[in-house]
Parts: sequence; structure tokens; C-alpha cells
Amino acid sequence: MKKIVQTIKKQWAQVLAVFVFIFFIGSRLWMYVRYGAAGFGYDTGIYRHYIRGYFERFGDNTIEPFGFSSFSNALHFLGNSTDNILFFWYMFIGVILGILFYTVVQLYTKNKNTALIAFILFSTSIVQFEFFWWFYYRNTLGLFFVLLSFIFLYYRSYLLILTLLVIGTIHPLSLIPIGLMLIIQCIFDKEKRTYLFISGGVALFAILLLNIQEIKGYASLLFQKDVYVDDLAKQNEGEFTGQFISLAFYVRVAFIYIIFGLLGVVYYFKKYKELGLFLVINAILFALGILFYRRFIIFFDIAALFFASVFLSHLLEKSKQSQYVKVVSILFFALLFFQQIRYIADKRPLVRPLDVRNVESIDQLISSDAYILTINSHYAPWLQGFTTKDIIAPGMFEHDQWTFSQWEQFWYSPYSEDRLSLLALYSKDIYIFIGDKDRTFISILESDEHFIPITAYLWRVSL
Amino acid sequence: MAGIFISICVILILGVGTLFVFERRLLKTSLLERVVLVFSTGLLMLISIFILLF
Repeated sequence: MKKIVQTIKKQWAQVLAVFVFIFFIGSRLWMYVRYGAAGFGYDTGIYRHYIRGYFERFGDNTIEPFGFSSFSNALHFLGNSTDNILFFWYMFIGVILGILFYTVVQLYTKNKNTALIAFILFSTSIVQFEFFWWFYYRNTLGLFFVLLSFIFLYYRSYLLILTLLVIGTIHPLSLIPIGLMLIIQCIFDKEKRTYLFISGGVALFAILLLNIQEIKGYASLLFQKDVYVDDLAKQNEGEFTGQFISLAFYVRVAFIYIIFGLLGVVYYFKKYKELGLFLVINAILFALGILFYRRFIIFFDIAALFFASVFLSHLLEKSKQSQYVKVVSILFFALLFFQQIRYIADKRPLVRPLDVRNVESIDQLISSDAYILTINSHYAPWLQGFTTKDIIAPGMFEHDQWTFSQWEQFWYSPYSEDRLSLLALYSKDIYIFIGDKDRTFISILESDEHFIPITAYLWRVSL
Repeated sequence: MAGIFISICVILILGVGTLFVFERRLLKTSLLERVVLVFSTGLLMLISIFILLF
């Protein structure tokens, strides 16, 4: 026993690294293990729809281009199922992302202890957990290749061209902060100018050549941002923000390390210019409030974690003789772990696992080509992803023909004729899905003979 | 499971191959860095191939 304790004391860094790694994996798997397909955010269903749909139409040039399909089709091609790509590969890449971040920090700081602190901060970051939980698959891949870009940048490898190409294809938004950082470096850093000019230039040319249709789509969305259609459902306004956490939430959950991050930027900006620039650029992009601006919090947070780990590492190194500092630092890191554990344990899914299982059963219950209507946009992404039917949902997807005021009529009108006349606008059979959040609507369905119950959660419309 | 296994093998082969041909010096890094680079580069190549060909 004494020998074990002595070994642990001697190799405390390795022991701690293993513990943090196990904790990190647990944090990424927990919601899926506990809640299954319902364990992640809205985009789960949407990505399932895309992964399945783009592979079914593989080679079809008439389909709208979607860079993410290069990733999903490649994995499909190698024998992965849709759900493997959706869950296994997402969680696997999420775990590798943490290790990649550790590698970037170790490479730039040449200090394993700094990298370990960075990994602890990353593993206990509620922001990074939320980012993983929201299931922004493309954004996750974007961040993955942004971190890889930092590694290639360090080595001045021309493989940077490929990472920029992949980022620009899969998630063009992720290209903005790193692209701006590289442009500024190209202008002010004479040593790297030629390398950056060639890498950036070739990558940009390739992106425009291969992905111009998707870039045009983003550009037109950018110009439409200020145009609001009166009857758009409220959540569509949120979409333009990027639908990630607010600044207030970010400061509340991350203040414990942001302070160290900002101190780290002040003291060590010159030493780590690339990451310092990256942090400042993301802060400016967020402050400007441009399209999807909330997503820049993710990149800002990564850079803040880097500088926080640098500052903390230097602080601990300088004060290593002080018992007081040792005790405070242990308490500090324990608090981070405790905060993360509590946050994840309290996290609840957006929909019940039973609702998702009900959605999954719909295709077996309805063999014909029909619409599935949900009165609640909460269920729409899951219906989209886990059935093969066309989905009618408030303000979502392409089949919704009603304005917002018409939806209000459908939800609240005391007259059956109002509802039926709205439903008659659609040409195919309609089935109404009722999830746990819609229980109060059942009384309306039960009181009208035009709505026939198939199951407790599925009603057929008979006009 | 077979798809996962095949994919990981293909990605690792692509990663090692790419680094061996274009950036052999990156294979002389520490073990963890090497593993991360091999996997990440392999995934990068796989996606790039699909972007360029399809």
C-alpha cells in the first residue's frame, strides 16, 4: 500500500491525466447512456435526416450541395450505418477533440503540466459540454479541424490547405475566425508570409471552386438577416443568432476561468500571438452580433481555456513552494469538477426518451406516404430524422403552408371548422403526433370525430 | 461494428500514408501527438477525397 501511494505521488501527473481522461469520456457519454437518442439537442434529428437523405441520393447532382455530406457519405461508404455516424462517430470525435486540444496546448507551450491544466479546464468547461450536447455536428468538425490547423500552422505544414478546405466546406462559419487570424498573420508576420499566402490562397481558391453554391447560400442569408417575415415562428429569429448560449450564461458558468484567461492574454499575448489573435477576433465577431454570432463563443472559449491554463501553470510553477497555493489550487480544481458533475447530473433532455421511441415507431404504423403534423416545434427535428415522412411543423421545414396566425387558429380556435379548413390545404393524408408536451391538445382531438386515434400519440385526420 | 472497424483502419492508413509521403517529420513527434496527428490527418484526407471527387 505504501509503495502504491509513493508511486502515485511520484507519477501524480500521469495518474491525474488518466483520471481526467476517464472523467472526460464519462461526461461525453453520460447523456447518451442515460437517455439514448433523446440525450442530445435538437439537431440530432436534423442531422439524422441529412445523413440518411444525402447518402440515399449519393451521386445526384440536382440535390442542394451540403458540405457535411462529404464526411457522412465517406463513413457510409466504409460501411457505417446512419446511427453509427450520428452517435458513435459524433461521440468519438468529441472525445478526440479534447485530446487534440491537449496536443495543441502542449505543442505551443512545450509544457505537459500546462497541457494537463488545459485538459482539466476543457473537461470541466460547462460551455464545451453544452456545445457538445447541442449536437452542432458541423461546428464540432469545424472546431476539430481548426485545432488541427493550429498544429499544421505550428509546423508550417502545407497540409493547412486541406484543413482550411475541409473547414470551408463542412462549416464555413468556422473558417471566419481562423481565416481572419491567418490574414492578419500574413500581413504582419514576414517570416510566415509566403507560407500563409500560399496555404490560404490555394485553400480559398479550392473552397470557391468546389463549394461556391453553399457559400452563395450563406451570403444570401447574411443579406436577408434584417428582413423579418411577420408570420415567422419565434424560434426562427433565434436561428440567426446561432442558437447557442447567451453572453450572460457564458459569463455565469465560465467566470471561474475567464478571469485567468484574460490575465493570460494580457501577460502572454506576445508569446502566443496566434491564439491571442484568435481570442480577440472571436470576441469582436461576437460583439458585432453578425449572423450566427453566438457560435463564436465556442472558439473564444477555447482560446480563453488556453490562456487560462498558461496563466495558471505559470502561477503554480512560481508558487510551488507555498502550501497555501497548493491547497487553494486543489480546491479550485475540485470546484471545477464538482460544478461540472452537478451540471451534467441535473441536465435533462429536451424530449422524453419515450417520445423518441414513439417517433421511431411511426414508420411501422403508417405505411403510406403521409404528412406527420406536430403542433409543437420541439418534436419536429426528431420527427424529421427518425421517420421517413414529410413533416409539418410550426415555422419549420418546407411543408408548412400556414402562417403564424393560422397556426394560432389551429391551436386555439374553439371551432372545429377552422382546423379542418386549414388541414384541407394539404393534399396528402395527415397524421398528428402528440408528444408529452402536447397532452392538453388531446381534449381538442377527442372532441372532434374527424380525428381518429391510432395510438396514444398518433391521430389520423379524416376530412 | 464492422463499419466502425473498417473506417478506423482506413483513416489510420490514410493518416500514416499522408504523413509518410508529405510530412515525414510529423511522424517523429511524441507518441500521443503522433497518434492524434495520424488519426486527424487520416480523417482529413478521407473527407478531402470525397470533397474533391464528389
